[in-house]
Amino acid sequence: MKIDAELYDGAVTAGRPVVLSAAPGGRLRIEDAGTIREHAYAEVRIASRVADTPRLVTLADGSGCIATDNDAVDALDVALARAAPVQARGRRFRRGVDRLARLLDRNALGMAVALTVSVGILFAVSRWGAPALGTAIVSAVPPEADAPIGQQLVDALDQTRLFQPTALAPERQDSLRRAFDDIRDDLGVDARLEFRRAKLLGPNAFAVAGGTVILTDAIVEIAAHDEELIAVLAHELGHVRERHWLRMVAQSAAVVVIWTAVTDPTLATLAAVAPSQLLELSYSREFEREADALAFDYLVRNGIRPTRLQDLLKRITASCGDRCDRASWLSSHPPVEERGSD
Amino acid sequence: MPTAHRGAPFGRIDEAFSVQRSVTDSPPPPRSAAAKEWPSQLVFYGEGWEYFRVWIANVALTLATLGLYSPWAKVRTRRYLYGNTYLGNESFDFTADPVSMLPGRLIAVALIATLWVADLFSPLVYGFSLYYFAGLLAFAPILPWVVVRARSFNLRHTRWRNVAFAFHGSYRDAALWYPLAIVAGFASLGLAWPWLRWRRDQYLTNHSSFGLTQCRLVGDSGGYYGAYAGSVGIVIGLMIPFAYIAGKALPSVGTLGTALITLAPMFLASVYVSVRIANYRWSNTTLGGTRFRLRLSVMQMFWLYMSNMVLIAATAGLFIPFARLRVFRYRLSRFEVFLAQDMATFQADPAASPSAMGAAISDGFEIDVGA
Repeated sequence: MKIDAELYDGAVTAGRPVVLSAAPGGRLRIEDAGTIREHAYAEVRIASRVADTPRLVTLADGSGCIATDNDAVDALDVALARAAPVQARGRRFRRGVDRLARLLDRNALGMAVALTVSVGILFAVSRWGAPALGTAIVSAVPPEADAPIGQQLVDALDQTRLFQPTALAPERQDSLRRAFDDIRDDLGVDARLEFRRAKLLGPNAFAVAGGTVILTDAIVEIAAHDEELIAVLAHELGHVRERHWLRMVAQSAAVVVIWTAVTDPTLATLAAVAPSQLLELSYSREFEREADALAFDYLVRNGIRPTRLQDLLKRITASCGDRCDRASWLSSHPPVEERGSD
Repeated sequence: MPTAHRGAPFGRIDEAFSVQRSVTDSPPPPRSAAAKEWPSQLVFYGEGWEYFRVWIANVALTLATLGLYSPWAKVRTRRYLYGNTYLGNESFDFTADPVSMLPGRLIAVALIATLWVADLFSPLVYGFSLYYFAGLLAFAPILPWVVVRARSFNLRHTRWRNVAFAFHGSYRDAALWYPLAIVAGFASLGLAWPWLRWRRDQYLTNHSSFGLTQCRLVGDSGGYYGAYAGSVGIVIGLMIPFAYIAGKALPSVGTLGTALITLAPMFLASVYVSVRIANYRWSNTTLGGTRFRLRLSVMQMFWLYMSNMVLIAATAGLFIPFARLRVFRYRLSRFEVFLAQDMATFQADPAASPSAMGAAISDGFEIDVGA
């Protein structure tokens, strides 16, 4: 087996034609303008194969042969490695990785396998990996760590124009706090209720890390019955009890790992992504369903119609009309038709 | 694969690679009237589905190894792109060893993870995460070092006809043009930024070489000022009408549509700056007597980016490799090389021979971040 190649001596960009072949003893033979040289396999580095791009065969003196017949170079590589097993041993790892990659990108079958593996891993990560990671993180991070994180968020929002002091009457606040404390004790979590005026956020409610639940003045004012607000509070306390904010962090981390694998961004890009930027005041649907289930359970046990939540959501929809999805509790919660029924 | 050209004698530029020079939207860079030169072009032979196979194999192995495979993925991606890019009868090559990239990557990932955790538990000052920005500030002194190492790494392993490119910039200059220039840019309210970026690009280009042949960035910062002035014009001229349209269209297109309409002028402006600067920079770069010209169209790039975004979203990411090739192929198609010397006469740097490099690499790990 003889391979036509172009020899570049590594000193200048001029090349000359040479012929490569395998000589006995695992040596690379180079026929170069009538002269014949042989190099031990240990002194030869054959670049791995990537699709059908030219291969550089580097010699110890810095010169290199560039060959385009990839199948022939593959055969040469195998022949040399077989004939010089001792020298090939040191390259076993690199050659193994390259062979694996080549198996996956050589043809349609490899592509199907790679696609299946990728989709399978993505499915497994989203189905089991991220929740398991979340559970592990939740048990690893002591609950005392939550409070300062949430408090910092509230403090930061208080410094902006987004949050203004509440204008609700103290008696109204007190009656809601009493209802809140009942739910809190029932669910067995550590939490406190705060009120803020936040025009831009519309009728809204959030639970931040550490158990601070915030109601905007607008949502209190739009409620026709305290039981509607109790339903909202039970829902938000469900988030608190399950420490959903921490699980969101775990999910964000998983998303970034996947994103890195798919796009191979520079590490500088990764450093620029702060996890606090990924954390929003909204949870995934799965967490919303969990919180809904906890709220539903609480409402039923306390003789409150679970449809109270729906009544409130319908009223919010009616009040904001087309602007609903911009700022209100609706923006972070599934549409009216989907909730309150299970 | 240009097998038909492989037998061509060296030094003669095959006609297949020559380009018409009649249509110009920017004047060609200056040259002495007596100099002889051969117009040539980089030709790309990659194919969408072939690259898709390389990409999906990389994704599968990177996911399966929790990211440990990523240096191999990077090298194979580069080798696919470079190995299919031909100047004359020979392609470019990327010769980095993934194993030597692994420690550098692991350290970088550990640092980023630390930054992340610190950010999460950090107090907020006026909405800014204290630890995160303190961490970024702590990285600032090593940023120039990282920039120099990364550029040196990438160029050192890029070869054509077995001759390596190189970067010889000093850390001291990098310290001037990276963290300090950014501070100075802010301090001047952005007015000095085009000039600072121009000087930074000069630093990067003037210390780059192909073998012993040095690159030079000639011209002045005027082209950069023009690029930034144009982008400011786009933002001012389009932002208000687009915001008005977005406001009107809000009920029918929803929040996401509104955000896209509002951000479109910003995106167009950023494409405008990057295209104008890339055109100016390459068209004023020389390699010995060899000149280059890049003539990207702003609207064409904008169209490529926008359509790629839509297609990537519509295919759940599977279009990513095709999108990359579209941009890569277009860039190369608008790139011209005017060789001033025979292709076979570029000298390699004896100090950069692979045997000399091998010793340097084993001293420390390779850094491939940024760039």
